[in-house]
Amino acid sequence: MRSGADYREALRDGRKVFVMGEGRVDDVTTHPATRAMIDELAAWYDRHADPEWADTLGAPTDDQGKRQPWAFTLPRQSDDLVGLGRSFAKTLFLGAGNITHTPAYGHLIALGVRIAVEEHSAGPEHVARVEAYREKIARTGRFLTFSSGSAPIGHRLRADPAERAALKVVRETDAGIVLNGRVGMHTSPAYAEDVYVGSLCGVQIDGHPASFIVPVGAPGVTTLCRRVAAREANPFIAPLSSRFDELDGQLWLDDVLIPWEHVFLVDISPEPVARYLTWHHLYGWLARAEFTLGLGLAVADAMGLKQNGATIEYLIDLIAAVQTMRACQTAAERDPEFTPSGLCTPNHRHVSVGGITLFKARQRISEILRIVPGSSLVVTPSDADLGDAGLAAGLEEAFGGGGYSAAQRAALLQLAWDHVSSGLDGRESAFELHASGGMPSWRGRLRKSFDRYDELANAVLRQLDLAMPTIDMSCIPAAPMTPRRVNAPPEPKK
Amino acid sequence: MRTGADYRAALRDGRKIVIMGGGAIEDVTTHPATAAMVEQYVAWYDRHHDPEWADILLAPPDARGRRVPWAYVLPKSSAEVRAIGCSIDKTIFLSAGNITHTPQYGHLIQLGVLTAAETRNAAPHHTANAMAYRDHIAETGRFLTFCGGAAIIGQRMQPNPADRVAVKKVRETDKGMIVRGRLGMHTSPAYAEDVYVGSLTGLEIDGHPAGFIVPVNAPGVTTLCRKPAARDPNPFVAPLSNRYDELDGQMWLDDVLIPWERVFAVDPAPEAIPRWLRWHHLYGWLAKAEFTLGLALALADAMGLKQHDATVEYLVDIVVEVQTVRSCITAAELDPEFTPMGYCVPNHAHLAAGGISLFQARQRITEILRIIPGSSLVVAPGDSDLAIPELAEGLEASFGGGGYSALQRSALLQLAWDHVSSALDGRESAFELHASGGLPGWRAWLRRSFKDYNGLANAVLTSIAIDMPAIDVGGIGTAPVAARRTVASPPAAKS
Repeated sequence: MRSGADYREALRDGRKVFVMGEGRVDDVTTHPATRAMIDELAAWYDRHADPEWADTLGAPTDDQGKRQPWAFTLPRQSDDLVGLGRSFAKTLFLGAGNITHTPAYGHLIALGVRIAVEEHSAGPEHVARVEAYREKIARTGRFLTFSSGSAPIGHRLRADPAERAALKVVRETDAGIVLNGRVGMHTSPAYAEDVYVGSLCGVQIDGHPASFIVPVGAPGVTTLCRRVAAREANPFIAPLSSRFDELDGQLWLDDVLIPWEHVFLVDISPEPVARYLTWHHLYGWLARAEFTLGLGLAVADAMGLKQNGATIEYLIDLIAAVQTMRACQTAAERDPEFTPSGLCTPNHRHVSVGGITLFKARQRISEILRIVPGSSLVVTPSDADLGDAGLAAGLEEAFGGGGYSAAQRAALLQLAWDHVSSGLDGRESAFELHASGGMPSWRGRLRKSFDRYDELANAVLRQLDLAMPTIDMSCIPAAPMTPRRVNAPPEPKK
Repeated sequence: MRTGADYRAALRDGRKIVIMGGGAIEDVTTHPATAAMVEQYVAWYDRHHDPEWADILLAPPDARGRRVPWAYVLPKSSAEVRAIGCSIDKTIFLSAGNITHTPQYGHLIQLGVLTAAETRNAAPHHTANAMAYRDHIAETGRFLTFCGGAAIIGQRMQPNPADRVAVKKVRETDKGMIVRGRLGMHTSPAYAEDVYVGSLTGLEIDGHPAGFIVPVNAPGVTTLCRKPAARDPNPFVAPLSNRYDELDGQMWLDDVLIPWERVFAVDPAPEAIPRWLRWHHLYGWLAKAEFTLGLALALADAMGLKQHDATVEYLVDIVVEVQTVRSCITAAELDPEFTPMGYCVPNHAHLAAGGISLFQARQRITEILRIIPGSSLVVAPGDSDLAIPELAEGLEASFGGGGYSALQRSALLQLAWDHVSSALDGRESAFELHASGGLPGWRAWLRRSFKDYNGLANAVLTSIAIDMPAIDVGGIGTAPVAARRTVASPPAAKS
């Protein structure tokens, strides 16, 4: 595994990155809008060399005494999923669930692409291509991120339906395909080295939907990131916002050559690629919920409420949501599924209900953390206020005591505020309502993965003492996922 | 395993059963209020001899080629817990989740008693007695049910606090203790052979809280069952209510001898006895929810709605709840805990989350099944209506078609009505809000089984750049379960 310094150096690759509101970023490793996240991702790499993390991040030693990072392991059995899952849980918590895209996530993308290529039956050479790429990122630690390939809104509103796709093939050459166009929202392109662009991009090769991998540093690639989430510059007030803003973005391709070895033929549905990703998403949401619970507990301690009956009931509300998700993840890993080529995958039935549970609970979870501290949450001072000679004594009296100094209690309250009432929190909420398809897609995945429709429908008929028709409900799981909504361009003016 | 006929014969044991509204019952196997449920238990025993059920109900052959029923296995591994769970799952669905107490449940009670005795670390003979009784019911198939030992409302209103207990010890003899009193709600006493009475009685043995087992037919025992759930006598209209009314009851003890070998020193911790019982409860609730889902699916087919988007979304709503509970049970079995003696227990943290999820969803699940069929649910005819010559043709035109005769569609609608709009359904809802402590009880068990209080509270502090106090909120997890509510007696009337 490369070091964080290696990763940081690799980002100085001539990439063309803009951040809205900031303009062109010449060096993402030093620019104030991006450097904090790069430090977090550098820490992700360095953690793999930290002996204290070895048992969490490293698979058991192999015959040659080597420990492969879980992040780049090909899961073949339930225990592998449990090990991978634990490594996600422990690392995602460190970012309070805000860092959802890591090199480990990139490896899961590559695994999903392999499954998608296998399911598409494009042929062994295509499987070999994707496996070669997967092995490369496992060997080098190269950081891959994901775009479904959908077009930004302007493309989708074009008058000519043929112009509404994200990308167009300009030409094919012996070396690869040359592409032009713009790809919509995806996460962490400023920090990744490669972007997987899914088959929603509209590119077809020999009649097959095609997906591909493009280096962020490739000639002709421009990455346009959203504005940074509004935050206080003072990390005492914004301990999370100032460190964990992944920066979603778009990708513009201007005659970019994609080598054939990075072009993959897949089905049009992104679901096979997402085989492991939804599981990782759920770990991200779980980390965020657990961080909220941790804050709820810490604040209950700091506010002298840990024996208050009503507060404890609020905390149990949080625990019920957290533990339900944990149970779903445990079931998904210990009751897994297998692909025809022997990859062990988390059982989507269990993952889906965990996700739906969280979708239903997330606003309430945030609200509870706003309730537990009381109004002190709203009026808590910063370190600068506490350092003001004219205010210090009064603020110490107002916020100190009970085992906490005013600075300690204020730091905790600011952390809670930043977690559930900041611009970063608002971004996270909006992002997750779209990133993995939102509630409709999670319900669709459950609808398709639940496998007892006919069994249950016919089983209840046995209570009746007369012959009944045999029921066939297979149309319910067989129905396609709800199609992506179509933006209707205005009628042309007469 | 004994046969159903053996079980039926065993119930003719001189037991004294009174049913409210029905008076004394001479023979529970033939009385109209109880005969149907006895037949369900008979079928439970006979199913163990049915080759079609062998792989679900029987463990793999042992060295002598014998297959022990999963119902009586002492689980030592996750795989055994999974298999026991599967046997509970498959059998409890047959009654739409209404038969919550079976001989298998009785064995789980005794596993809890055994573990509670072991955990209490009382004298070795207490553990030996608990194990001997477990072996006895495993060998004979004897049917045990459970009573917490709480007093009935009248006793709790006694002016003298000392009289507010369910049972008092009258005296001790060489053979055992003589007890007298009245015990509150428990389920299936008319059909069981023994009742485990828990430590809420306040009785003690050798300085430890005591539970005991009393045979339903012991001299001095009277079992007083509630009124049967009101139902239409026509099984076409009430296919579930006519078969699955367990009849909860009270037990009166009038100088009853409890042999010492049936008195157990137990741990009073709320997790002690119900270790395996909550798992069984959750399977019962899941069976009811799955039966509801099965009915909703069948009705979506029968009413021509299986491709109707809004109906499919209602179905997915139920699937979400069913699958969430199933995932929690799967996690509980595949990620189990172990008692100090090595018995494998479904993980309570996962179970509690599943139970809470279902408590929150159950009324909505019921409501969806009332919505899906449309108003046909309310006006569906009975088989006797369909047979009236002047109505038959019109009812066939009104309710037949689309691959279903009027009789078939009506039968399905009546089944749905009986499942979610009958008095039996009302009883089930009221019962489950109390039987295992209700939502407050399940929340308390989650609070006690969740392990990460200090881990999470201190982990968030690493996001703060200044030194912070180490947090100890472990008291939340170790605090006792809220005390049972106490009843306030009115002030004594002035003379």
